[in-house]
Amino acid sequence: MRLLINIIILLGLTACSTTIPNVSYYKLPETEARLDSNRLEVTSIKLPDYIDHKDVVLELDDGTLHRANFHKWAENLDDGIVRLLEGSKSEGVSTLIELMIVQFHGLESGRIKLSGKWRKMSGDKTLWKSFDMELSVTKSGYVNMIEAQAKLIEELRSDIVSSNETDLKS
Amino acid sequence: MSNPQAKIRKSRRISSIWILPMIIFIVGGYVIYHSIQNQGPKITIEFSNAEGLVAGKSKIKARSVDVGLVEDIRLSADHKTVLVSARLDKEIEPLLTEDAVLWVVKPRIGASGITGMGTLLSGAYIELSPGLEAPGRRTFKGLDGVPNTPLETPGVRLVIQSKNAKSLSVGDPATYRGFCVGRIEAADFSPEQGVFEYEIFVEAPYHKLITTSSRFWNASGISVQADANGLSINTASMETMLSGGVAFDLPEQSQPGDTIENGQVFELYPNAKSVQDDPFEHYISYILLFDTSVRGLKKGAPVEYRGIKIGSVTDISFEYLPKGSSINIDKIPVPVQIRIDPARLEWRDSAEACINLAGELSDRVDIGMRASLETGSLLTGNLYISLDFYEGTEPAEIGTLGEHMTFPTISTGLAHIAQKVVDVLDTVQELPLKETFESTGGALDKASETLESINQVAIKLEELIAKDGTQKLPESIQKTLMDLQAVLSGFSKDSEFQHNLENAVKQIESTMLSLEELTDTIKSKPNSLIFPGKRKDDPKPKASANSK
Repeated sequence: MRLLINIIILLGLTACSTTIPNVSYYKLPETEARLDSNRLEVTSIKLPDYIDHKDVVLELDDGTLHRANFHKWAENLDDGIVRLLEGSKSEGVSTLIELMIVQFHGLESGRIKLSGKWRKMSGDKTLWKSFDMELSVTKSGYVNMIEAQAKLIEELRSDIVSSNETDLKS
Repeated sequence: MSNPQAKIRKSRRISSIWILPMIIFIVGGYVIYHSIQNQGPKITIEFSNAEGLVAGKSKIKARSVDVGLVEDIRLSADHKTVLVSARLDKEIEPLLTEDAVLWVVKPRIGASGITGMGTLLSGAYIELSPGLEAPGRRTFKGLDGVPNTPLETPGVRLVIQSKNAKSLSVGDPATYRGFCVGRIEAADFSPEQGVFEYEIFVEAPYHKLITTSSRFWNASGISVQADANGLSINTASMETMLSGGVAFDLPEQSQPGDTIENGQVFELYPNAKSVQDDPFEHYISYILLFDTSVRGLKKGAPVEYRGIKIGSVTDISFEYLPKGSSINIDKIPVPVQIRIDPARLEWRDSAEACINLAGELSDRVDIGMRASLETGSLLTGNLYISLDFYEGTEPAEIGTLGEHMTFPTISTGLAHIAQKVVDVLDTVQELPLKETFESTGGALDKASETLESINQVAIKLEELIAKDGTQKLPESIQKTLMDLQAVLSGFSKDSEFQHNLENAVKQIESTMLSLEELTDTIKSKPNSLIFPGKRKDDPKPKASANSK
């Protein structure tokens, strides 16, 4: 009888147990060594609420946004973006920018969306510019998607750096 | 056969069956007698309405002790008032004096605060305040409001009269030098005298402060006045400033008078200044005739003798000039009426003192006393009247103008100034100038010595500045400023403190968002805390179709 009770308890306990998959953590990788000597300094960055957290966001084919349960950012996303934009601190005069991101996430169909607005300030001149960028992901999986997101940030940086100084308005 | 007949015999004894009713009757009678014998007095109170009172429920209280019960409430015969019948305890009978007061206690919000809050739960009741007169009264007229002070409270009730009802109302405080010593208990208008009458109760022992010499004034608000003495601002206590009230005190230079009794009547002065201006009952009145402009002279302006106030200006008007008089139209003098208070000259405040002072002043006029207009304040340009002695004046005397006495005046205008200038020049002419110049040479020598001393001080000052300690002083100030800058930079936008603060705020935001998600989850699935269920695997992002 005692044996029977022990077996029932054991079965009950095993019935409650579940297998929890491992959670993967990511940070935006620096894609390649930067050659330009231009230096950016992000004075302000604003993320939309839907990505301003630790869950990686994926837009599904039906248009709904999915916050991943098992794929998380290892750092604050805005810190990661600032890190990529500013790069390593080098000597020289830096250009101050303010960044307001409207959307920045991957799509289940294999693309990355990045849009928003930046403001570049140099001396007493300033330039506002909107951006709306997309990038295709060549391989499936979250790792490749994160790499593509980092690449898109690098493209944004290039755009900001290469923006014509004459566009700046006083 | 004949049946036997029962013999019926009338019994003379009372049947034993009546014993029990008789006992009941006797006991009942005794109970009724005892009840009537011990029944307290029944009183009738007339109120304007019976709001809050309930027959058989509302109580009569004296000093918050239950002493009776309302038995009946009905309208009066003319339907204009309410008659409340109440039965009181027998031992309360001595409290039903002729001057006893009854009123309904219920929540009230008034100038004196919120009262009767306790009746919100217990219901309204009638409060009985016994008086001091003989007992025996059975019908009363109830008060509409709460009497501020129980009648037996020691103190004094007096009446102040005013020609206007300026900002005074029942419940306002009566203050003595800013300290509240009583309240206005009633306000009424006397059509016969055309004055407002306020009944004031001043508590013991402060009622001893009031004598026949006391003066009452309206202490409401702030009084700003510009007069010959410049600008003055008068305020009473904060309470009276906000809620109004009366203040009383003895006027300056006044001695306490006789003690007062209940009902003493006082005049209400408009403000404290008016009390000090004209506090005395007896005075002598004169008309002054000025040939110059009296612009800047106002009613209430002081009349001074060598800087000491002895009276005040009471009126400025041409009406004192006799009508149809033969005064040259080019030289119409301006009549100014003044009063001089004997009490301000340490005389008694009496009619006899006035007569004596008038005689004294008449003698002084003979030896050169005159009235003149003087500037009291260059700031406001106000004038006052000065009585003083002037040498070389033309002979004059106290005259009459109609029914008024006139006091001779003297001009202190340009002519007076010219005389002064001549006097000054005469004085200069008499100065020993030669001796003065000689002594001036000596003074210059002294000045040279002084300059030499100053030079030496300057040298010593230079030495002091050259010292290391003095030189290092700016350096230490600079160091202190740098330290201060370092401290402030710790709180700047780029500082670590600021960074940590931003991170902390971010963490709090993140936690709040997680809590919000948790709340949403619990709402949709209340048992999710115990049975979390299996979370689905995340959908996997695919490679773009274009890249294949």
